[in-house]
Amino acid sequence: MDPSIIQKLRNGNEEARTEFYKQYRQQIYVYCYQLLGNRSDAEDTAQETFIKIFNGINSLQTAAAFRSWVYKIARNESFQLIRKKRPVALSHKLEYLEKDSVENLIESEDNARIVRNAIDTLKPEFREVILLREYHHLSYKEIADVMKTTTSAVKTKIFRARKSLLKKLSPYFGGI
Amino acid sequence: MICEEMQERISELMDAELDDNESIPVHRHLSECQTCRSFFTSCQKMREAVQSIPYEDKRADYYETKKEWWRNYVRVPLPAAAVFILLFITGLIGTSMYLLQSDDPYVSGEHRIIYISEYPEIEIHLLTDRE
Repeated sequence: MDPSIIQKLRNGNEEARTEFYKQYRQQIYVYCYQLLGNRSDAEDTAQETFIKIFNGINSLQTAAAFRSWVYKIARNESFQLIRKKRPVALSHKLEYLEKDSVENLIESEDNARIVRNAIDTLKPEFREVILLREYHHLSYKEIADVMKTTTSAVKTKIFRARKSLLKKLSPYFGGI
Repeated sequence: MICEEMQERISELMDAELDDNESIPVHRHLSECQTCRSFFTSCQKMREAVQSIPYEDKRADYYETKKEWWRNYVRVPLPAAAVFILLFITGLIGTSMYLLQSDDPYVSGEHRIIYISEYPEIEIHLLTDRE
């Protein structure tokens, strides 16, 4: 992110807010969607995230940490909603897994759906690191900041997540 | 065992988290080990597959129609808030000064209280005449 835009955001500049919103809208929405699993919650949470960002931009200490700070806010907002809706979210999740387990999709030709379901059946921490790394292109340092852990732990989690995902997808992408 | 360790390094190599010195032995191992090459290729295919998942929401453009929707939610910038607080404090001080100089004897304190010894709980407020 251009440091001058961050400075303008700090000053409450509307053009900078629009520019930032255009750049990050899709990323934030997708990340919330990946954590929450439904469009409506993801839209609401993405909106809340932008409001928190605009209101809290002065608490950002260095421009270099901007991207991980943004993702951290989106993650906090999503987890807050998950905590609020826990019983519903859990039953929804179980139902979803029963219906769309990887085994049931072997016959399907829809590769994207297969991969997506394999990701959804990963341990939550593995799913999160894989998505932050492969989909959102965050560095290990940024992922560590977002998940409040160390880069060394992130490195290990990403490796284990890859192994686990490859195991689930081995019929499609070759064995290891 | 060496392959397990190497595959963790391959994972880092894929993410560009190794410097040149760290990546040399990993490349060397990859050129010699079929199992690890297979792991590397599978991880690359998997990466492409993950990146091709259509998470994008077609309705995300919905926000575009509501330009600057956040205006209603975002706090007033600091300078505007500071001006407001300054005006409020000035108003508060002005009102206090006005009341202190008021003609109303209850406000300006130009009255005295007397008590009757048999009924100490009763206060009688007596207005004093102005000179």
